[in-house]
Amino acid sequence: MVCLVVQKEGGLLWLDINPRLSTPIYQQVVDGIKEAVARGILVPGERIPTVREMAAGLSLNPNTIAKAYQKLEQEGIIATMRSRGTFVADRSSADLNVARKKLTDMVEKVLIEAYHLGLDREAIEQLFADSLDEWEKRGEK
Amino acid sequence: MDLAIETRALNKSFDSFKAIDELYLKVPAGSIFGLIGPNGAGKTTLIQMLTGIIRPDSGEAFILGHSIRERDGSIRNRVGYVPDVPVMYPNFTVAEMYRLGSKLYPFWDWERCRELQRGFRLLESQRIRNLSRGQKVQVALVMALALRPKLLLLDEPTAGLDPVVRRAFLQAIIEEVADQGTTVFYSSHNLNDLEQSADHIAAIFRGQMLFSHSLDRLKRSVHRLQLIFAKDTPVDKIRELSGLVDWQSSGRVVTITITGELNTINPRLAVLEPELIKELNLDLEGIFIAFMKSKGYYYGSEKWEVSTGQ
Amino acid sequence: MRGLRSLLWKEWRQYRMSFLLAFIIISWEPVLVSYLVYRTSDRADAWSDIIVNILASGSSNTEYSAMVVAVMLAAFMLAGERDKSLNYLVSTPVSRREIVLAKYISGSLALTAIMLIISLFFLILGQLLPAQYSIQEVIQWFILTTAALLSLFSLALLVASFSRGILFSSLLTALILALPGMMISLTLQVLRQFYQVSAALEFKAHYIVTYLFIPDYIIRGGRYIQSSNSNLVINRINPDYPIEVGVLLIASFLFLGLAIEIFEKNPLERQGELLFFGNFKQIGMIFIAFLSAMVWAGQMAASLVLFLVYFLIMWLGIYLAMVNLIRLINLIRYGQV
Repeated sequence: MVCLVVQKEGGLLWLDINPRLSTPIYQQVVDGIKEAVARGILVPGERIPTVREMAAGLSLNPNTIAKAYQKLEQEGIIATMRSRGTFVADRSSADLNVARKKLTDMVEKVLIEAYHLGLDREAIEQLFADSLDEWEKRGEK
Repeated sequence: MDLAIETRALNKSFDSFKAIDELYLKVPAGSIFGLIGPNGAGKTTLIQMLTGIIRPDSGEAFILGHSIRERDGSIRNRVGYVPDVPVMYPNFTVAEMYRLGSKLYPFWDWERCRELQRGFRLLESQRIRNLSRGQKVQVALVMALALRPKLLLLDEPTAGLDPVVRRAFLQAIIEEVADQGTTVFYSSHNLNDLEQSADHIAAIFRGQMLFSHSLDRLKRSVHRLQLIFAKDTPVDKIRELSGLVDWQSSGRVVTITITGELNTINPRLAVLEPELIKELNLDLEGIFIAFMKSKGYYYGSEKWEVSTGQ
Repeated sequence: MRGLRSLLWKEWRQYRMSFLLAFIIISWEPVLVSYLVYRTSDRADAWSDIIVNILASGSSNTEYSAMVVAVMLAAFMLAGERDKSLNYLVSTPVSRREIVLAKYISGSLALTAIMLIISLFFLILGQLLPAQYSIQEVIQWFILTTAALLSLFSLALLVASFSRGILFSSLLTALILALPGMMISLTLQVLRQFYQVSAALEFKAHYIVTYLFIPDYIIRGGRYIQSSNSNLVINRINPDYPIEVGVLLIASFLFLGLAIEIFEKNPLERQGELLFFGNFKQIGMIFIAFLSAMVWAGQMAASLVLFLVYFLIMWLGIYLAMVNLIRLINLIRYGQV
């Protein structure tokens, strides 16, 4: 049994990780954090330990923790702000993350088409700029 | 995928004893890779070949991209090694060993050395021959980490260490992996440590690779299930189950250890028409013992038996 | 070679006490004995008696000790380290070549320094007190003896690169030293049974042996051989300096090169000594079979041709007999081959 106790104002966060279970460790971390969020032990916008902090604190493999965080981020439970740390995602930002991913996929498809049409970077950027201008113009009307 | 260690068809015999038999191994960079196996399976021989102490009979092996057959010593510039019984130089003091390390390794970091030295509370003025085995392992580990390794080769490093030191050891390694992306390859009988820290496990038996998987995948692919039957247990059908590693029956209850994904196993079991199927917890030790048993290495009625196995 | 410098520091730190001990073993005779004689004798130059003996005869305790020290030092530095610090060293970023080179350099420097100190001692005293020897004698002795010691050290290092254990390695070195001489004597003995071996041929053989047996470069006694009818004499009492020193130093480098090659290929296994062409048990048996076959066939054959036939058959036969005898013994003792 390995426990992480993180002091925060007003309460404690606990993660009960048992390496000897059949459930993979990363899954236990994912489930543990999801549960903490669901119970309100972790609130949106709150900072959670970095991969390094958690790995060192629990004496677990950093790759395993990274895998857990990746899954959590994919599901929109947490979000990593570069150089600011990892935070519990807002409800809205959870949707935003999912939407963001969708958009990224769509943009990628556009880029593939553009490549096949023979457009270079400048032309693509111009295309987007023109479309944005058009969009804003229409929005003003 | 970057491989920190790779072996291809590696072979090694001592007189007529085949220690390593056509071994293929792939260790991904940045992973903590655990090597398990019974005593005399070839773990130490393998690690000694990787560090250059022993030469293979045939086959290839690469550490950090360099062949171990290279005569140039610089391939070991960023490889730290902690043997199961560190010898070093008995007449040297701990401080002199560090000094030697700083001269031999071009990336030696005195800051890290002192930081670890303080953490382990070793006395720099003591001579190596006056240290206990655990203390020697600590010195060896300090040196292995202070050289700023990209690869750490550890041969049963925590055997016989007290729990406090063992925890400190594990902690130091995890910090190294987290901060530097070091690959850790370590053989151990301590399956608890491995289960907690390793992301890949390989098992070796009689010089051959039994399996090599990520720990997650290993746990997903081996299951222990309890089948309760209403009447007689269909022993013959159970024996014929594909992927069966081990089974034990007691009255109407049969406990099987079987490989495969659960969604493919359950239909196969349903055919046997058990009254109840229950999944039991299976930890790494259980997996290891089951596999060893299937290979003929198990505890018999009165003594250890190694039958000719499968 | 960055690694080499680190290794030289390590060799010094590891063996400085051994070098000191070597110095004491080699130098106690001239220093102590000269001092005692100086204190007790009336004759003004009596103190230099022992030194004259060292310089002139080449067979004083000093020289014998020096030769033994040179061989055992190499054995100690390489063969004695197996399974201990050598395993550690090989896993560090130094190549095996650098390991052997570092030992060669530090051991050679140590031996040279020891001889230099002793020679300076002789020279200085020779200037301060009336002596029976000249400066030139000392310098010549220093150069020749040191060259011979260095080549002994290299040979011992070569043997240590594939053998294990200080004692075993030293004895093996001694055996290999004597081997050329032994082989030639043996061949002569066999030939003598079938042919009338001329005195000239015997003589030539002995002459060659004095060049092949390294201690003969130091020991004057070995340089002077009289043939049985007193007609021919080998007199190398006055060494031919440039050639002899040159030969010794070249041999020293040759042995070093071989030592590096062998050590690079030699595995450091814990089980069994392994040469790259077999192990010691096998080679030992082949060698013993060879010797016994030679002697036995020599006694039995009537002509050279018959001898060769007998010899080959006996060599193979004795070897196979030994191999199977050992198998039988193992079967009885352990129940398995």
